[in-house]
Amino acid sequence: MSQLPTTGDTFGLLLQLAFYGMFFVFIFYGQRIQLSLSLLQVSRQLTKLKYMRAKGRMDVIKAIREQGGTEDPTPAVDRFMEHFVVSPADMDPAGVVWKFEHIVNVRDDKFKEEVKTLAPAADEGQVNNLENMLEAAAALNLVYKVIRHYYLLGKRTKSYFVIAQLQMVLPLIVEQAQAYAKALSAFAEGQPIGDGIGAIVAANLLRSAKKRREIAKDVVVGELSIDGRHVFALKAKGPGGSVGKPGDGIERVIEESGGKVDAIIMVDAALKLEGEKSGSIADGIGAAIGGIGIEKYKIEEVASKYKIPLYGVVVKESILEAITPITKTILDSSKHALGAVKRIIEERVPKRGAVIIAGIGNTIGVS
Amino acid sequence: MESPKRKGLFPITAILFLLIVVVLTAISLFSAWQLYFVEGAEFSRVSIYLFTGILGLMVTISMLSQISRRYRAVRRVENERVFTVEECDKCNFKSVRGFERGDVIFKGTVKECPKCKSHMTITAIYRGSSK
Repeated sequence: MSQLPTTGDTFGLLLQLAFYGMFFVFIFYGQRIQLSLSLLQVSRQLTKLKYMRAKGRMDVIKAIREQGGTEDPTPAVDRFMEHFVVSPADMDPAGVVWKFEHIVNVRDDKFKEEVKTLAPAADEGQVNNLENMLEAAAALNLVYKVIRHYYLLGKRTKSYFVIAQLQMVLPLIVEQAQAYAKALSAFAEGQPIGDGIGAIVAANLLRSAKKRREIAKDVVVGELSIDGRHVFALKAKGPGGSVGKPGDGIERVIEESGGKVDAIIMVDAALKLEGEKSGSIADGIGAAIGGIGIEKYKIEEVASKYKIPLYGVVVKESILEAITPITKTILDSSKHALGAVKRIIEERVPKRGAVIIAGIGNTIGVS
Repeated sequence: MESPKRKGLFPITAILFLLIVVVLTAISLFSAWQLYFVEGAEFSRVSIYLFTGILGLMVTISMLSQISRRYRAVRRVENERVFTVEECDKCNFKSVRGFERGDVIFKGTVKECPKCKSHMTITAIYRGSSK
């Protein structure tokens, strides 16, 4: 040990010099060093996103190939991943919902037709699943490209503040991207996802219905009785990955019954706040439905036209749980959600009255 | 979601680096102890060894926690299997098996109930443990 620099002050002097050197280096190049470190960290996350995007793309290509297409789906998948939708002008907001619906319908029809061409052996449900996969892959592509844009912008302009902002939001974005990446395998296999909890509740009720019929595009309805009340249970048509058009379904049921509906109860999954328990139930007032707002608008319109009260029951879950295979905790909460629905019926719907129970959400893997 | 190349490389390089850090930490702390308690050196001479030793300890703890986090993440992925529950329409006999493509909640299966030979229906599909 005496060989180690324990004798003399040479080592101490060197150490002191190193500290002084570091002091001046940090004064003049501190931010640049910080920028390099931040760039390194962002670039690592960007590599993760790039890998997720590539894997997503490959998964979609593989799934389409499994459905018996003769031509190579790669160019079409690449084209889909760059596909965009232009929102209608909203400077004059009157009628914007219908314009939006028209654009969404055109997009859906185009996607479906092209998927059918690529995968001729796929049935209706599989086409829906493939469409969902393409959407998830496109979302991963968009996330990667946006993050890469800000990374390169920060690197080119050497702006620490652009990179610092990116660094702050990246953990949340990567988490969301991981959810999309995991969703791909659920869509490929046709497994029910957390978002489908509303559809599961409605499907459970539909088991007691004598028959179910398609009342609107990709929406089925069945009639049954609960505690002396006439119930219209409604959900998206499964088992393919679809959310249907519940707004049209609810509107048609109300029109068919001449507006004689005493309540509309909507069951849906809702994003939980950090700290809230997954699978916990909450009930409230209003149209419990997500999306861009077209279906919500239609439901609110018809409900206010006929003065029908709108009730919502939501099952709390995270974004990851919402788009990946449903967990046991969330699945078990469907019984509690059904209990909450029955309680609302008992308290708010008169005997021999009529009520619509709409199970909202993606019905993948649910009959 | 790491790339396969990095996934394979990480544990070996990490463990090698960890071993080097542990050895250097041990040498530093041992030198500090020997200088101060055996040779009776002043604290100013000992402080550099103490400083590097503590730094090494912190790096070791940080690396160990990273490795354990990674291990837990891998275990979590392994535990994320999807199961299908089939239930007899008549006697409510339940059986749990791994998910197969084509399984759909509330869809009747071709299987017969092993107890009463009635029809069985898929009543649940979920991610997690089979219990």
